[in-house]
Amino acid sequence: MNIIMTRRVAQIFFLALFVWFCVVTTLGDRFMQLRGWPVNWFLQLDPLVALGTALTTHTIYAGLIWALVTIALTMLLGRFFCGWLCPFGTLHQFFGWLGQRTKKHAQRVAANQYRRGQAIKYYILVGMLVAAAFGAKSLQTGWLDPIPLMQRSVNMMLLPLTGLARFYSGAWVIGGVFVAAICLNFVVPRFYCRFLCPLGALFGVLARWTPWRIGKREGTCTNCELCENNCEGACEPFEKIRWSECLLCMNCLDACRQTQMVYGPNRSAAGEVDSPDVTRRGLLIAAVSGLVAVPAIRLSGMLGTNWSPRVVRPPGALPEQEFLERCIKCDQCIRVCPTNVIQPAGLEAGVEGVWTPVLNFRVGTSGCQLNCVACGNVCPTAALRPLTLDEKVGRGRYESAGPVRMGMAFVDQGRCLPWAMDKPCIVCEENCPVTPKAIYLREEFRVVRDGARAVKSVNGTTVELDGPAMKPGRLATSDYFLRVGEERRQIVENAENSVGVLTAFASAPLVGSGVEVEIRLQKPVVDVTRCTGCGICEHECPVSGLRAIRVSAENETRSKKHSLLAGV
Amino acid sequence: MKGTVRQPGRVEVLVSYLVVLTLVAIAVGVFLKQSRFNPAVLVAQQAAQLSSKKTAPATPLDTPAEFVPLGAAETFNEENLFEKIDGKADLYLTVGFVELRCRRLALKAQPDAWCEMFVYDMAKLPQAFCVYSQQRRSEAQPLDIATYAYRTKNSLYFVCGRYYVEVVTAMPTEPMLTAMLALSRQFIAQNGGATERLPELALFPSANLVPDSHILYIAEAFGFDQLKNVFTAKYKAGNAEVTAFLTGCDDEVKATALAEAYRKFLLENGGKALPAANAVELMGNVEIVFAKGKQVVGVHAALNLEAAQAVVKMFQ
Amino acid sequence: MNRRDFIVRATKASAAIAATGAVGYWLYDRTGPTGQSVIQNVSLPDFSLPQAGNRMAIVTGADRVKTVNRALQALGGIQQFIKPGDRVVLKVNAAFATPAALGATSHPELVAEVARLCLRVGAASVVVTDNPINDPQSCFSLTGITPAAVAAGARVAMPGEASFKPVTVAGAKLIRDWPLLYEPLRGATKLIGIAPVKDHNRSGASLTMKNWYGLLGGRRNVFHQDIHTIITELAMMVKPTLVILDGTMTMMTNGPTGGSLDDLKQTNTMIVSTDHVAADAFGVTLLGKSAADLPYIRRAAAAGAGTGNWESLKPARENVA
Repeated sequence: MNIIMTRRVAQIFFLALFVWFCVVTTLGDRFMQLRGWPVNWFLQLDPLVALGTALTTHTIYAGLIWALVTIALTMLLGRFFCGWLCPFGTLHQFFGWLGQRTKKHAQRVAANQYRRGQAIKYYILVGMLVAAAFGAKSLQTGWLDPIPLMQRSVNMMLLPLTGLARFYSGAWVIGGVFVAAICLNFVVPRFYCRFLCPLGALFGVLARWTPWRIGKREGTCTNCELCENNCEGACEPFEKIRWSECLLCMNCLDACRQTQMVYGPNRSAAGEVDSPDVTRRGLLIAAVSGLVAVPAIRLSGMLGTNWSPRVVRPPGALPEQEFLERCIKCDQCIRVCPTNVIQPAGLEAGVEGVWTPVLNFRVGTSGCQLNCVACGNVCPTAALRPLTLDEKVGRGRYESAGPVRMGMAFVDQGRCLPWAMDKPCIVCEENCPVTPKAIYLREEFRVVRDGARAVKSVNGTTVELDGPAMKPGRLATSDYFLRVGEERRQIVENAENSVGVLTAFASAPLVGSGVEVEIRLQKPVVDVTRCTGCGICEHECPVSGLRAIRVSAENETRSKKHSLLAGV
Repeated sequence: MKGTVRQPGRVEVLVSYLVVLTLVAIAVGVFLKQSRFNPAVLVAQQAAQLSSKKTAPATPLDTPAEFVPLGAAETFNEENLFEKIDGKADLYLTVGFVELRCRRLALKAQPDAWCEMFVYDMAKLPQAFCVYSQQRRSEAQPLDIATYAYRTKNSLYFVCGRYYVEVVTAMPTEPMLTAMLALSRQFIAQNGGATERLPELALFPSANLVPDSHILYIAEAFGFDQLKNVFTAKYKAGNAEVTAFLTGCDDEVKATALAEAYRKFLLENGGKALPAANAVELMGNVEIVFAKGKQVVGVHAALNLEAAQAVVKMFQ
Repeated sequence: MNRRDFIVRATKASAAIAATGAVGYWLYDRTGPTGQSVIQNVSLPDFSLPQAGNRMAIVTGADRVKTVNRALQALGGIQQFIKPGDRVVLKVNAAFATPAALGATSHPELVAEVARLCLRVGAASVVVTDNPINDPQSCFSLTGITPAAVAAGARVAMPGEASFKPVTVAGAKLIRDWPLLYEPLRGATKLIGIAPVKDHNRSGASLTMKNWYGLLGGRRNVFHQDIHTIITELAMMVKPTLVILDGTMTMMTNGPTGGSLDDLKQTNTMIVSTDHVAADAFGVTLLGKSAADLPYIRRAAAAGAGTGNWESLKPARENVA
């Protein structure tokens, strides 16, 4: 079988597998749902994820050990991942081919020449790794690491566009980056892979001592340069091949009519450049940038007292410093959240927090469900810990520790219907899912607008009142009461100028005496000791713009400094 | 490209096949992995199960005139039944328990005298009879309010259709017991079913039968889990009592197989086959088991062979 | 020439792979970061008095107050165990909201008498406690324990949400980070268990070791699935000063809740011992069973919680008319 055919089969296989994993990353046990599908496998194979988290946390977490397989194979074979496995690379190759299809031989060769800009990806890699390893550690590989990038893009933009009823704030930016990267292939084929991809750079470094490599045989090359017609990596196999740029696409092997290009145990007979074309100065600048960038960003104080209470992280999130050491912005948690309440952050968590998960309770179908532990159980790096239900809810072993809190709900008394507008409503209390409820009610009887009236006549349970006409039936909702002195009776009906009460007054009100029409209000109050910040109240609040009860990150269990009560 | 197609070399073909094989292996591995559910999926499944359980509609428990309720009525379901009856809960839970409603009632005339009524909804008559018969006290005295009912010094126990009811007091005075009877009669009047009978009980021959000694074991009997829905009754044989049992199967073949299986079970657990037909000696007692038509019949833990055989004869 | 270069590269590549593998193995972390749910365990102190010896007294008679007094006298008097200034906790069985006459709970007369005796020899305080299965308020009052205890000068400590702290028993499988009824025991110096003799359809019998089940909180019914292990671990967890096993009215069948007066038999026996395993080993005979019928007795003895050979304690045997 032709190696090119095999390569295409592999690329299509892995692209299809990748998309399949994106499709099934949704909570459930049906075939097209999560079940046990290893939806993080590509992220686990990605050695930049393993290396980045190894540098920030000094551990290799669980499934990330798969990266050893990729590293080992790369050290033996070369950048097979880029040419055969990477789904992002497959897309770039396809669009690059589209862009080159109509071009003639000379134009194609020109497009595939090595450019000095191809050194940039190595600087990017160094900058990211230095930022992860030293000083104020921060894992920022997720911006450009192709696997998390493609996970994000497919999950946040492509899938919803196919009709999935999901919403993700800022998806246009994520999608925009993706589309831009794809479109750049019309400028230069495999633009992203050649110039920007830090993972490709890492593979380029790892490929230094591969026993087998692409190269020219000793023989008669006719200088036709057909080998560079479709060279994906722009590695110039015709002359001194730049081995760190070669993606093992095998196109040169297939194109050469003289079978001069081989993949074998010898270095190229035409010579080889075995290491990336980076300058010491460039590396230094990259390293220093990485070293300085994170502390510079953190001058905003967002990890200290200037922390953002809008950043409500999913349950199981590590404290912010440790979280930023692990989150690769793959957005798997956002994808799997069954209520669509987790969203990719914009700048609310700072520059480091862009595209990390934060909760927005106004979006989606509900708040954070009490009996759901999906997000932490799909996080590949344990930036969100995989919680058991017992730990999340605080029972069994964890009874004394209590439930995991994401934040706390605060009633906005200036906007809440019973507090501020004399309107009964207890939707938040009704929907609070914890037992006993974290919202309780304070009853108050309040005189309504134009409620102070005088009695004109009394007839059994009907009291005629002076004052402006009332809309008939308006007071019949069982929330209204007529107060006469110390006695209060529920109003069951009303006409324009009279009300009917449930039972007659013990002492009938005198004609001309002042009475009051009151409304019974149950005002919600949040119990600090019980609220977990799940946000179902905020989601259900009928004040649908700026909600009258809102969750913010105070009292989250992951940060002792943000707690509201001593010892809680 | 135009012109001759390049022929792949042997190594190239080999590598190609290797790669394809690897892809197949990956596909198989992924497919195998998907059946081992992510813990979050398992949690979601359990949550879905719990929320879909429906509670049976409750018939109201009215208070007769002699009583005044003492405290609120309590309801217990499968999950928290143990909170009321602790270790006894297993007996109910294994045979189809739905719900327990109980409440305390004090005598209007004498408020510090109170009783407690337990209404167990067992979903069906056989299941109610099962828990009734397995807990029947040996000092039981007759009670005529229902087909299956008895009383002791201080309590009443009866079966009413799908319900098993206990009315218990610590102060068994005359007025209290009278009031408890009235309470029970009122419950029966409202719910009906107190005269329903289990037809299997009529299969036991009445000669020498100890009255009201029938017990139903639904989940398992005599430690052997293939014996389900087993009815037992006691017979007088001289000074001793012999326990006879019977259970129905779908057909004669199954009955024969079950009898064989039980016999084998007895032998495997230290029984010695006796020369008499179908008899096994186990731990000093005699066991007999055989199939009769669609039924499996026998005698359990009889003191001697003659007594056992005398009882068995009545079934043949 | 080419082969040499190949071998050099192959060697370097292999070494690099091996080094990466080694680093990977060294850094491998299967479980990931632990949460902020830091569980602070408490532990129960040893309430036993080795200097008082390993003793047992078995007294027959129909009057609880008389038999318990005689039994304590036979052990040298309660002052051997309770000293002036002691803060005593009486762990009673108030599991169900049933009247005392039904025999499912500790008899209030006995609880009151023991409380009185402790206070008489100078105990600073006597606290009566349990974590009932039913609602605590109704359990303690309907059983008659609250009025009797208060009349005797003791205080009833009812469990509330803040009363529990997690405990782990060394070597245990079930009691790990499990809520324990800790607040009534905080600062206590002596612990006396008071339990009735009951049949139990799950464990065979409910005697003094099973009585410690009432110190557990949380959803403890889950332990019923492994009842003999949990009783063994309870025996390992608690080292009481004394246990008092009341076999005056034994619940012979339909335990642990009973219900019919016919379930009870007047066995007129009171057992007081420093060893809860030995007390159970003798107490089970009142039910017509033997210690061999209760696997937890053998296992608790094997775990060092006491001895199943009650005869070796040479119990004092007396009768009170």
